[in-house]
Amino acid sequence: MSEIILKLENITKVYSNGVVANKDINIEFGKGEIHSVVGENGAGKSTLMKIIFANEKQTTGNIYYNGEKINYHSSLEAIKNGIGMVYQHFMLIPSFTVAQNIILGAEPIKGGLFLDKKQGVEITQELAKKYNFDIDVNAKVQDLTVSAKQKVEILKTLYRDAKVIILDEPTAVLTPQETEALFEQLLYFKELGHTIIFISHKLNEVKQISDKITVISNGETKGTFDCDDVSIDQLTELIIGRKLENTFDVHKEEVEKKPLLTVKDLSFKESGVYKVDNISFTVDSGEILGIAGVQGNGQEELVKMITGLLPQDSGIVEINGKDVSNFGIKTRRDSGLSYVPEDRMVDGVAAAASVSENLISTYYSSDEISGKFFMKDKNIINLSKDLIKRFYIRTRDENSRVDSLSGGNIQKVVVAREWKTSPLIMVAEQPTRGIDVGSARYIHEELIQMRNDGKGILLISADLNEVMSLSDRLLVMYDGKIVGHFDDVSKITENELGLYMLGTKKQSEDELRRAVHE
Amino acid sequence: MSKQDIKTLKKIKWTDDKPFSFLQLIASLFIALIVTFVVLLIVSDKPTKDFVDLLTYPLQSKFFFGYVLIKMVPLCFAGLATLLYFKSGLFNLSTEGIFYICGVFCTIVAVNENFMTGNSFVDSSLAIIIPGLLGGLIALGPGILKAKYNTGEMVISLMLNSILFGIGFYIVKTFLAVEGITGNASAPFIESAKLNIIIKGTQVHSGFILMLIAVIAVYILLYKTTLGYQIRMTGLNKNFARYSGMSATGLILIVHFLAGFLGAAGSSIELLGIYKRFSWTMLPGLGFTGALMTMLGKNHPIGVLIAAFGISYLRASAQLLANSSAVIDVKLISLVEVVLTLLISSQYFLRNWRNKKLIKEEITHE
Repeated sequence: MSEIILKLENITKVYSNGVVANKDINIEFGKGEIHSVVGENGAGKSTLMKIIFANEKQTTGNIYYNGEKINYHSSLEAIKNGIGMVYQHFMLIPSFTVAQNIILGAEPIKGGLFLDKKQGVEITQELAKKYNFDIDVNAKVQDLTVSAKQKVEILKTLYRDAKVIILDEPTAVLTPQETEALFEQLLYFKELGHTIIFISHKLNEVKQISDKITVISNGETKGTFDCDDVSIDQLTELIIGRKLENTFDVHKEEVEKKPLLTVKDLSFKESGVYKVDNISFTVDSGEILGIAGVQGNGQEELVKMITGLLPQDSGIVEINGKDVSNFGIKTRRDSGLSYVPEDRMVDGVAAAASVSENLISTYYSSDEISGKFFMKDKNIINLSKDLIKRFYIRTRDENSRVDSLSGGNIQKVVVAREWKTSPLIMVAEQPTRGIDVGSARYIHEELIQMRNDGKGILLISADLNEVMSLSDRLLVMYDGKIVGHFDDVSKITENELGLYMLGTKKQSEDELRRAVHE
Repeated sequence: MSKQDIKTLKKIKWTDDKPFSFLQLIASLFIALIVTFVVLLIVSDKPTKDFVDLLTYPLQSKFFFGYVLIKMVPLCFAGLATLLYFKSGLFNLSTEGIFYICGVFCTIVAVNENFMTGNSFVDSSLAIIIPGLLGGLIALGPGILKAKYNTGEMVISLMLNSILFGIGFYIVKTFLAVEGITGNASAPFIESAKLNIIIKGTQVHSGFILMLIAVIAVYILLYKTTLGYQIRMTGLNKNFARYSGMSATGLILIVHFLAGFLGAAGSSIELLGIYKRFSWTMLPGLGFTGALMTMLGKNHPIGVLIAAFGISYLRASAQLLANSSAVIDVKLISLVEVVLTLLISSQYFLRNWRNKKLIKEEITHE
């Protein structure tokens, strides 16, 4: 057994709102190993990593690093002692160059006072070379691809001499090809003696790369295993406590095809750059149209224009045959639109409001909820109880604050509310991001049920698995444009899709025109 | 159901949100009083007597207690106006200036024979509602700026306070001041405009009842109406309200108007209830006190009522004792207010205790 570099002993973390994120966690990380920590979203992985990185303080328990008990007061101390972390959301300054970002906060100094830019560039170049990174250190970060930004983040930790590197869901934003490249890199780090803590919920990746795997479920460890001793099925069972079927009942009734959402020549320009470039497509009744793509390729802006939260520069949005281009979200909702937003805590709920208040926000003025001035409290309670029951929302009652619920259950509140408006078309943006497998599966089944009932669904997701298993038709977005349209999702592979997502492959105009149904 | 079950059902869990904030309140009050006592220990020859006096003096006579009740009326109105702003996520402190200038408007109505009918109900209503509507219109100013240009309402409202005071004082000096009285004071209010005393042997006037009505009205508005729902959701999360299809523009305007109305009505009621004539020569400080009431009242109309009573009780007690005691002064109460505000608005206060308790529960559950 290799030398232990980092040891967690009886770590417990209770948040101030009473949520117990970690319970009595014990893990030993060996030097020079790739150690994966797996578990559902919300199981407590991220909290645990933040504790190691001294971003959060454990309520009880001890951390030992290189055999010594440590008690860092801030991440700065952790960094200084060789612990580095790459967050899921990058912490980079877009208008700075790669080199500037890397040396930021620990700049080489000349003459005791002045920033030595030249040396900064040289050091970062050497660093990139030493660790086999192919990157132009003089490029501005805003011009880089997602995977290149990730490389910058990793270089940042290496520049600060990180011995232990924590990677929080690094592959969530990568295409299959980019993931392969990252793994090669990680194996090289391991050879050089670095310890990698790899957080993920993609089990096949974990199995491929890890030496050790620790399973966390419900804030507790379910054990640490040698990678060779445990199968993916066993891991799944440990994570969610049961086996998971990965296929959906795609049984589909034929319904009359009718365009419910039509988008024509939609464009959006921000500081001179087209974020959305001339996009056209149709969503028919009874189908799920998926939009795949690496995050940040214009999907967000596209959705905001369709839902009316962002004014379009040019183009037309039609809902159920009605041109709503010049109207806000209220009119669009009234025309039959519903919307599950990407970030539930920012747009989807009012965190400090109760479950029932969150369940009615998009139709509070309907006859069922309000009279001329007063709200019908009794109806609201009954309706909330029904929705809580129907969507299996786990809450004490309808008066609990919505932020006392788990992520998955908050998302169910959002989906339940949007379902309740009896929409014709639902725009579901990353509907299962960051939630537990059980809730995710339930939401997927709901979407399929809606599809079978003749509704149209536009599904935007960075999760390839999700778009591929749910969509009837699939579009791929790259750099604000549609670069691929697939009528039959079963005929393409993840790898092929990856090539479109990276922009290396592109269909012809003729093929793409088929996305629009006249 | 066995007896055991009933017992566990009835047991209040102090770690739950509402009981916990109640516990915080009691503990804060306790600490604030201890601090006061310590200060008295330092400055007073007979600290215990002073302390007991401070806590019990208003209870010693009906008149004194009545004094507490009338002193809470303006506090409560200012608190309700500020509450409306805070609930919709606006940090607006213009109640201060509105209170002053609408007092001036009220005076214009209440000293002018031409406005008065002689019927005391009609006259007092006029002298409250006219300034109320004007107050609402004035408050719309920062409201429109906020809704249309997204200006910072706090800065605007603070500047507005000075402007309103300047205009108000100009009107008082130029048009309302009468000769023969020191300072700048108006002619006496016409008798029929003044509010009636409702409890004999005290100064408690019908404005007290209006205050209770206002508290209930604001409660119903916020928690029972569609408008109130929109106000609260917008206040909690603006993005969410927009996403849900609520229009912030209209809402901001309505909230400003209502808050302006409440502030103005509070001012008129104060004047017509206990003053003979208008003689304010500076801002009353109620903009900030309104914010204090809202914070102490935990953003709830009933809480504002309780906070207004509590603060009024202490302030009245100190005022009544100020003549007979060398050390007790209204400034002493500021100390209590400061400590209370600090502890109640602190999210960390008692948090460790709560966490420990939660961990313990978690462990015993298994």
